[in-house]
Amino acid sequence: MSTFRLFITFYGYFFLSAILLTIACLVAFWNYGLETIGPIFQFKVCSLGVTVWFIATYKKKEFFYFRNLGLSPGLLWTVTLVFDFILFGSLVIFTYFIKWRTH
Amino acid sequence: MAHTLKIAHTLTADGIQLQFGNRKILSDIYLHCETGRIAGLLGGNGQGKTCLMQIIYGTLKGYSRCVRIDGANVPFAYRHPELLTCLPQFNFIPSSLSLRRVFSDFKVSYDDFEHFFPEIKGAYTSRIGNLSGGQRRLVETYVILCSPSRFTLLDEPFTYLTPLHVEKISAILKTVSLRKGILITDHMYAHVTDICDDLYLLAKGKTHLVKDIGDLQRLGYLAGI
Repeated sequence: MSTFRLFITFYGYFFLSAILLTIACLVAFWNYGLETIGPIFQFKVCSLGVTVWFIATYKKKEFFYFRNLGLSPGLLWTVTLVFDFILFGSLVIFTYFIKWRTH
Repeated sequence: MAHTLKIAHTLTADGIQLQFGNRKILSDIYLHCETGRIAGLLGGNGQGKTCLMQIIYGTLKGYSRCVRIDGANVPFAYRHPELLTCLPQFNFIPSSLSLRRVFSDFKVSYDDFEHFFPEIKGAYTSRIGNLSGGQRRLVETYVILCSPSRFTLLDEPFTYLTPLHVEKISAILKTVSLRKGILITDHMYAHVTDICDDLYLLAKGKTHLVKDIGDLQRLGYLAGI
């Protein structure tokens, strides 16, 4: 439970930017259709890359908090980014079904 | 008749080498720390005290290193908070977290903290970012010191603390050292020498076991202050 809470705290560092980017991608996907699937994935990856760089630079000292509780920066990034991409992928698939499969 | 079983653990660091470019920082290192004892590390600015601590903790790669806890090689000690915790010399607790959350994460009693430092009473639900610089350092030092690990590294724990808090933290250090080994470095050398059982001086990349103040003068540490 404590470890899960730490992952949530770390994800909170970029949750807002990640969710806004995801919503922007979903809006583009909804409006412009299946041909945008490649570009929106590239956009999501690139924007998350910038977010990772920003946090790794400006929140560097706070990684010591997580280290002292047994979570290395590598593990924090792996778990939160995988979760974010699963969430992103799920919402893209959900949007696809809502827009094109139900009509 | 009740017996208290005390298990002594050892932390040994040797064979550590570090250089930046052509500049050799650490070359001939030997440090030993064990449960029930406080080891102090002194050294002038730029001698590599923080680098040495980071190498022991595993967050800085040396050219070579050998860090052992109870005889077992532990190259990345930060992956094992039950073995080793580390207080860096900067503020490291996210300012958005409350004291309640921090004490809960580190499994440290807030009631005990409030007992030692009644002046911070009522801050249980406050965010770390709302504390003053000294209070924040005090919380950081306390939670790391009292966390349930076998060893703790303290890099400049007395910075920003008032003389009264330095005294109290020194007393807590003595008590906590009965159950864990502690390695401490700080520029307030008089406080370090007062509480240490073993004292090392880091000079010109080498550690020297110090026996008395005369050694600190002979090795140029006191003359350099």
